[in-house]
Amino acid sequence: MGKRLNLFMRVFVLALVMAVPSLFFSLQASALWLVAAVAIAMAVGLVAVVAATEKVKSIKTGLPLEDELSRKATWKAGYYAFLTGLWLAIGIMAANMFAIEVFKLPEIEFRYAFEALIVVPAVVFIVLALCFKRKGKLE
Amino acid sequence: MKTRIKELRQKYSLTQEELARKVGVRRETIVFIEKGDYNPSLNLAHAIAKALKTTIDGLFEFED
Repeated sequence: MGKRLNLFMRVFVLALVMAVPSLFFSLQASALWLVAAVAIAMAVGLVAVVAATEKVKSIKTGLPLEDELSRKATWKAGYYAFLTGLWLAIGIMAANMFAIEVFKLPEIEFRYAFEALIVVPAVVFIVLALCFKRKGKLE
Repeated sequence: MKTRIKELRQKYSLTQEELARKVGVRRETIVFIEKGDYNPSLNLAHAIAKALKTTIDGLFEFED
């Protein structure tokens, strides 16, 4: 699973690094605001639903909310989310410089880049943590 | 790695949930250990072995 996951994450992060700055340049400001607002609402909603479901399950069964496997799954998801954020930041910076110098496009607004750098790794973290907890194979 | 957890669990008529409660982990953790998908820590392996009245060696078979 390790090699497959690594390959998948590399392809996924590359796709993100290309897609997110492209989105910034292709959408107009009003549409971009809507996309950002929806993405943030979805991320927050996802966190709330997952946390509430797990808490209810833990109360019903009397079993702990967290154990060594869930902690390891969380740490592993955090590692990949961090890498995603890092590469996304590099991609946005590079896209910004390239777009301004070569294509004379307007610079990506800081607030959209900032929102993307918070929301995208957060969503990646939540999704991966869920996947790793369900799969069990962490090595 | 193979385990005898399911065999011993059934011998003592314990469900996965009951075993999980005894050793203080989530039920899914017991499921993954039984399937051989997850390698438990030494502490957890010891706790499971104790709950199933055996030793760690009696619980896990390592393939060389």
